[in-house]
Amino acid sequence: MNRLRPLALLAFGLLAGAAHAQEHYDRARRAVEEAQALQASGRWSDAQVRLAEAAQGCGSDLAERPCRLLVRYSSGYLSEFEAAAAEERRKAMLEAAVTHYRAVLAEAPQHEATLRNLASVYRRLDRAQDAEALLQQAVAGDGTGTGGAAMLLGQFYREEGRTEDAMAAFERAAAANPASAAAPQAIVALHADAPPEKLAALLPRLVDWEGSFPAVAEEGYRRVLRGMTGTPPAEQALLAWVSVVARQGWIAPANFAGLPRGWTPVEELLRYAGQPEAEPSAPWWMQLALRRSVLAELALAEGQAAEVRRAPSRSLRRLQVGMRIAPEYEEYLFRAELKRAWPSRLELARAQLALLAREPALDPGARLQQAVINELFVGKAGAYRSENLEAMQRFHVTLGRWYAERRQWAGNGSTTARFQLERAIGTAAERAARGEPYQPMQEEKLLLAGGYEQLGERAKASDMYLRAAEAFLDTDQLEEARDALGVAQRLTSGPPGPGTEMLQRVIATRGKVVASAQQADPADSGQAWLRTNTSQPFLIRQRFKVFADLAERAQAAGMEDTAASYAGIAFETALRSKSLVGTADLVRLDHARTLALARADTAQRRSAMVSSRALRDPGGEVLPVYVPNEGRATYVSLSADAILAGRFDAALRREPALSGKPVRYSVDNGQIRLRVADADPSVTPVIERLRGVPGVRSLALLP
Amino acid sequence: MKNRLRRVLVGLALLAWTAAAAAQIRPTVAVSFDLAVPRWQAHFGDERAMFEKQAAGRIAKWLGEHFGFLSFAADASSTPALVVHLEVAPGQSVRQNKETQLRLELAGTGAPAPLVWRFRPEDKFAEPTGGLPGLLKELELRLEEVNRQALVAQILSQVSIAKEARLWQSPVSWVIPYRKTDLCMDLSSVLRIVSMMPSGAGPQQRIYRARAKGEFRPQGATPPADWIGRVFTVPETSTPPEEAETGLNALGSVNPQQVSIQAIYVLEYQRLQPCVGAASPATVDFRGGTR
Repeated sequence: MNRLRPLALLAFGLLAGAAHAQEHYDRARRAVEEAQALQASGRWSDAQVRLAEAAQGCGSDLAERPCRLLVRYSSGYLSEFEAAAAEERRKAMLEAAVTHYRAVLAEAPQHEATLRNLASVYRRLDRAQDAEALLQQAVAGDGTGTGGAAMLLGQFYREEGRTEDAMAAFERAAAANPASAAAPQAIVALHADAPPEKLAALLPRLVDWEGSFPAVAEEGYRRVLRGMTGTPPAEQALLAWVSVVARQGWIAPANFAGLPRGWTPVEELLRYAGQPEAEPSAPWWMQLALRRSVLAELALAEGQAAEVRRAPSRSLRRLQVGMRIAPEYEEYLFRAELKRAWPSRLELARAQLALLAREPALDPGARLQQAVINELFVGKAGAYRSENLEAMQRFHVTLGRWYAERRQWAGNGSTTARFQLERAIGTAAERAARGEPYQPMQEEKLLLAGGYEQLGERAKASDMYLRAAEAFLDTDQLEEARDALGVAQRLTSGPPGPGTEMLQRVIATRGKVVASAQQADPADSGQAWLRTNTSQPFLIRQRFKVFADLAERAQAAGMEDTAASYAGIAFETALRSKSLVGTADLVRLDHARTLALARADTAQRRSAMVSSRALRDPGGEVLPVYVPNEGRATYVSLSADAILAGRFDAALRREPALSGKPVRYSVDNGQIRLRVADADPSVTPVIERLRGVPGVRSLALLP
Repeated sequence: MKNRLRRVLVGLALLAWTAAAAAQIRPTVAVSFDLAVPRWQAHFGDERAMFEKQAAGRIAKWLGEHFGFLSFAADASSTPALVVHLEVAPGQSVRQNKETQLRLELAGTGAPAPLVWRFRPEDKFAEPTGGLPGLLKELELRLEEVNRQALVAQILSQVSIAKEARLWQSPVSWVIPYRKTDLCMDLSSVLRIVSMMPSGAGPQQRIYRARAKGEFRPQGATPPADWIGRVFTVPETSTPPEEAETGLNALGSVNPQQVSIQAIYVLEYQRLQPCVGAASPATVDFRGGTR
């Protein structure tokens, strides 16, 4: 007890100091502004006095550190400007700036603005070597996960004309933060005047970036095209460029401007893009199957372009031209170069069918639609297959809806709504099993359930209605979930099965949360599912939603502690989930994470990123998220420290000895520094237990 | 006496620096949002105005992060004004489900074509919005899919970023009143410079296309201090309405003092990565963490 007394006194002093720290910080900021005004009016000495007063006002304990750093930083900054104003003291002022910035970095070695300013001052003092050493040191110690220091070093090398070193630094930044486009963009910019061999080496990187950073890849391909016109790498870049702009729908005339003129492939391309409703005169493009497939991708984009939406007949002509350009289905199956190509013909057929179904005036008697269907099915069976699951799913959905509208449920083979919708749902499940987001497919499930019902297959219909109810819950449509569940029950004779009962409980719980902001009731057996450690993905997703919503409502009611507890459970549950559903879940995750980690200092560290690629940090987690777009996947990458903070916070909440005690902690590469106010001997065993939280490399209790 | 003079000069220099800095303020584009999908209008009801306001704020922030040569503000009423419509795609469709699109247009500049891209495909029309925050999040995700090249070429290139520049003749170039970091603009970006040139028939408008080449630090010359470090751009062969190659020859013989600049537009924008200048104390905060 005696040993802990000084600790408690220190903690008390710390809290008392913290109460003043904010006030001092604000006062220091005002003083800095005054000093800047004094300097601007030529009163440098007075500005210095004002800064010295501000420094004294900060105090010396730990809580005052931000105040001290602000004044030190500002002194460096103003010294820099004084150097510009007073030539005879330029060197002395710049040296003074160095001293101030160095002092900041001694306490905050990765402070990016200070690193940047100090490197710039070194260069003005002709001390480029010092700037380089400073930034190299910062890169070596950079654990922020942002790659910020490496970006600064890269920029430094670029300005020094050291392209190779700049490239290495930007590569390092890209590796540190693969979810950011900044480093890839810097690497592409570095190739502005690069020699051909460098540009050729850039190509595989661009292919890799296409999925995550299409704008960067597009710009890179342009550079290769301009720098290597007429060569095989330029041909490869042209095909890749057309593919990117077509798939992104970036086919405005502005995009075609700036391509290298006078080169046959480009000239033919421009001619076609200028008249996409006419048969292309493009021998170079028509020569090889892969080129035809890529040009057909462009035809698809042209057929779906905004300017023809008001004129569907033009849209149809463009798609039909695309069908004549595209290789046959058999070629996609048997030609090696098309094995991994985008299935242009399949996508064109799908788009054509969708357009004709949407615009019946274009196809009186549905003859054109039937022709597309015949081409797909009457020829070689299964010729429409593709390895591209995203495209296949789109295809099955379009056909499934097309047949469903025509009530074609019965029959064998692939020409029924049943076959196509089953395949669509199955393909979505296959994609989820591969790590892509779980897709609820509630509309397709409801449609298929109705189809089974129509076919008299009551058991299958009931089961599919249950799955539709789950999907509606996943998309936060409680009413629709109730309706689907009701139909499922109507179709089954006898008492409701366990699946039905569970769905009833989930709907009831979620209804209570929505309707009355009612908190989870431990005595309510209907809510017992919230407390069980289920491994069912559906229940995990629902549990996440419920606790995230409860956290939001508790916070709105001013119950901060309760809100943080619920948010902690929600965040933990999200980490166990295989997928989240809808942008509403993205918002829930943001909110729950912020609330759950309110006591954690991870401020300068990247904790979560939303991206179109599953980017996993070492020790981090990737959460796939379904969003209602054309099928592109979305992922949230959570850093290892954010996950650790979530687990650590949950463990803290489970410790009664810490209940009601103000606690703060920082997380840095698995190292935790914990500060507990009013610490007493009961804390000691707690610390030991907390060291056992998975992912904790070290845990220090700070005074 | 000497010290006093020095002080005055320092003061004047700082004033000049301040004035120069003031001249470098990027134009502000007002951003507004129009939720024009009837289904979602009905869904949000009274919250529609709040949604539109928040959507405009997010778009302005996103634009500011990606297109540093302009400033964007959601709460401004100035011109030019950028309007983003979330609407049903046009067409003859009689179906219940509709494709939705984002349409971005610039009012107040006589800009030609709007920029349109898909928000949701037809088969996702009936999916729930996730409430106000959910639809805002979806909007953020869709912004990442915009055609940035066309956004600059079709829309943002209609906004002049400055009405002054210096013609330099050795070599022929224009020095614009910004540093790279002011605009977050990398070299290779392309500008359109509209100028009034002297001629026998009085001043005549000439339009040039110029590419950012470097920071202005001429060898063997002493230009005004506030020019140093600004972006200099060199003319390049171009197509109408810019001057053809023959028109460029006149630049070398004209008296720079007689050239006035009417407008400068960004036609192709390469963003500077990392976009960093000296960070003033007002922009740093040591409270959130000090790594």
